[in-house]
Amino acid sequence: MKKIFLFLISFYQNFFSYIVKNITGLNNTCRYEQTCSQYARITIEKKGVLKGLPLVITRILNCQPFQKPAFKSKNKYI
Amino acid sequence: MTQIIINILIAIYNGMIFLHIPYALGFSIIGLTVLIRLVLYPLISSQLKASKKMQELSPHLKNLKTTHKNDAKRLQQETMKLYKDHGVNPAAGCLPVIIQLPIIWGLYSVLQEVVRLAPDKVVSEVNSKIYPVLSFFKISAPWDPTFFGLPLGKTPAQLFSTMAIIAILVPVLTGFFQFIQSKMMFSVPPKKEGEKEKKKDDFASVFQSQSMYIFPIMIGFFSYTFPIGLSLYWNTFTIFGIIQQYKIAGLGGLSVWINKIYGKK
Repeated sequence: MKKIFLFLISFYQNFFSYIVKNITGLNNTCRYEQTCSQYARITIEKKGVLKGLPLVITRILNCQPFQKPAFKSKNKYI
Repeated sequence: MTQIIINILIAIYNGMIFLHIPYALGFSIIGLTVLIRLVLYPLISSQLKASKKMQELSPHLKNLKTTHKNDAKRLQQETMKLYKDHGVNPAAGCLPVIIQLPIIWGLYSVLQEVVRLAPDKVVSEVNSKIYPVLSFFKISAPWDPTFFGLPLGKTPAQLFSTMAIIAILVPVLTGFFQFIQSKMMFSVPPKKEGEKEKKKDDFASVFQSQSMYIFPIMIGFFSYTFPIGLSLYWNTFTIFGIIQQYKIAGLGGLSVWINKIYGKK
């Protein structure tokens, strides 16, 4: 399970994100120092899928205009 | 989503017919794409501005990363401060990217179907998708499926035997515009965190460093096998993107070449 997720993340980081960048013509501008995919990889690696995935989803959902980028994270891995 | 797009397309098509514009279907595809790009314009502009500033700041960021290597929280705060000091505001987050993807996909799947409709089915198929409220938009005659002589529903691969030049030109142009956009996007060579992390398999690292070249070739190849109507949409989309990028962020990575052509530096 963990391996599948980590593989998917690395696939996204290595290939898919580049394709998305080229399609949309937008270079990545992350509001976070660690990008969501890096965060996802580290969190899932350390906490496992069951505990890590909710954190990752929260993190991704925080990336929108109505949420001010809060750099106080309760997660110690950030 | 699909139905909304078809309704907008047909509304534009009706406008074109009303104005007696020839090749109305082709121009409707262009019009629809431009309309959507205009709606997205402010969102993408803000992203481009933030992106440009962040690229300028990337050396500073690298410094911070080395000085606060072992203190992730501190690094986060310092990064935030750096952005604040230089007025970088990635306020929209990743929304511009996430919003664009379903729209690109939606247009693709709608146009894919629309341009391939057989002439005798156009009227019934299209009219069945029109919302009842908009029933005055129902079309009464099949459209002209060509655009300046190019059959929008045929792929360059199918046209190769009859119009070889066109069949080659369409994919080449599509790839070319895509390349211009990619080139403009990366003003500095895309060296990112991927470098620090252990280099995985070779294919992945090659793909990353060469994505600027690989992707346009892929797109060119796709457009060879897709209907010309889709290439029309995609090129409109890309050209609009190039113009927007030029207005907001300048030439970017393309400036090196432009300077060479005009003999500067």
